[in-house]
Amino acid sequence: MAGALRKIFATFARSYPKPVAQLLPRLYSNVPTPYEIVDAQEERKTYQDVIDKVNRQVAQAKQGRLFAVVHIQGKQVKVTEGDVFVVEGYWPPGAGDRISLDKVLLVGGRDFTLVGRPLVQRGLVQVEATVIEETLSHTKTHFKKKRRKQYMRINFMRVPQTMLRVNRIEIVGEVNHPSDVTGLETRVF
Amino acid sequence: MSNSHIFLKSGFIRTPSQNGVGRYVCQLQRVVLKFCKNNGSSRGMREFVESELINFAKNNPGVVVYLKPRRHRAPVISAEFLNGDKQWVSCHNYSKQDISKWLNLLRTQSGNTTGFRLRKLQHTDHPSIQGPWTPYTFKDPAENLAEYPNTELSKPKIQLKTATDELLEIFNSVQISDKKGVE
Amino acid sequence: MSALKRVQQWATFARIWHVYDAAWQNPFHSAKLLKKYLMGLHKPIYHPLNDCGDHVIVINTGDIALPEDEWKKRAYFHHTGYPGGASWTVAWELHDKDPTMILKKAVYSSMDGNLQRRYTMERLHLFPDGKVPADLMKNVSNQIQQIRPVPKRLDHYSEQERKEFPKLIDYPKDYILR
Repeated sequence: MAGALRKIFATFARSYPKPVAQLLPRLYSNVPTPYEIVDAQEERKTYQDVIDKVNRQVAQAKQGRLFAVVHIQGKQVKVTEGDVFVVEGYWPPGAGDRISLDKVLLVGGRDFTLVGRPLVQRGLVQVEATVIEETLSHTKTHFKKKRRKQYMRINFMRVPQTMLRVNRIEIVGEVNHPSDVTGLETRVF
Repeated sequence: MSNSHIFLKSGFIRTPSQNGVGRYVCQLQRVVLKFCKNNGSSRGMREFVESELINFAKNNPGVVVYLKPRRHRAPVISAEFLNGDKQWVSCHNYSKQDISKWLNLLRTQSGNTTGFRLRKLQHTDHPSIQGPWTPYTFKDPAENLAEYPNTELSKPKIQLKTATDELLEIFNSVQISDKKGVE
Repeated sequence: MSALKRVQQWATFARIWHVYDAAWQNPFHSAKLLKKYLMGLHKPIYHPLNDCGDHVIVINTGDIALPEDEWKKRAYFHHTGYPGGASWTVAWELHDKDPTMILKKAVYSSMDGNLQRRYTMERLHLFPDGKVPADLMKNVSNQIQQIRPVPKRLDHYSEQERKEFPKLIDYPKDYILR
């Protein structure tokens, strides 16, 4: 009460035309960053060096433990091999199913990270998981009330939860070397 | 103030004996279906036993199914899991589809999770692969040698174009066009 | 905790000392920026129960710049607790009495009014000029960037720059300079 009064008296009800956010340039935008290639040859050499290093490390199987950011059920999860996570809501895969998680946004190891825009090249990374459990959550209460209007509702709900264990994260194939034929990843025969 | 911790136990994700790392093992050990032979509340249960129970038993050879017809008793499914948990589902006036759904849910569960709140929806044994964050992770190493307070580091990195800069630009462009005109 | 884990814990939760130059800056915009460092919101390990706030040393609080006519119009209220002890002090008067008060009050009021606030404010060190005790300055390992670029004083331009700068207008020929 005293604090509110103090605020009203201290700021003489002035509204300042330019908030801080407008003073600074927007630090996010959908417009791609403008860039200028100074020396194409040198640029290509630099990035090809990095890509070759990554490919060499993967070919020698020296990359170590990998982690991936996977998009699943509208949410993103950071997973490594052997960890368990829960997917909430209606999700068709049943208990015991082995699933490949295809929407990979980012893959990283100790020495490098592959950032997808927004997804990493399909077929480059393979993330496999097993569904180990399907339960219902604890009882959640959705309580609604409008005061002084005699309106009160309570909704008890239990959300289906699916537990997934990540079995394998592997970089298959080479970075910047997509296969000539695409679209065969989901083909059975 | 809040007392939900009394009736709502909470904990982190628990997986019995690394289930899923190698092979998936069904965690339901045995299921006991108790029903009455002629009470109306057991009708759905009786229908289920007659039609769908055998399929369920065939599809899940690892689960032992017991039938206990008990007169004047309410229909109930009692489940026991591999970790010793017991769960009890009342099937009073349920249809056979309801019973089938509940039985499927018990089959996919690994224990009694009613009244168990998961604190986090993830569990890892390796939370950091590239190394945990420290205040120096994303800092330029050149700042190790900087003397503070530093005027160069104090300047804002993003600087909008000032009126002076625009003026100089206009002046330079006019000079260039003048030179071109002369040429 | 093993020795290695203990060292990792110490590295991640280390408390950093920052320094911020408040000269020519708007204290209210600066407060919004500084409160983040004091509370630890700039860290990915932030949690209100984590005690992850950093120390901030602010220098040149005597040279802050308030917008428009705030110096004349912004009034600060104070009550001693005794009857008839209410007083309203205008910004310029308060600044004359204590040059650090305006920024201190700005940071205090920019924070949420919870019980953590007084403890968080303990980590803010304000100095009216550049004179900071040496043992405080030794701890500093980061400089917070200013929000508003400091304009260059006319007498700080070199002779050559003054000659090369394009001349837009000149005095009329018959104008007599005093």
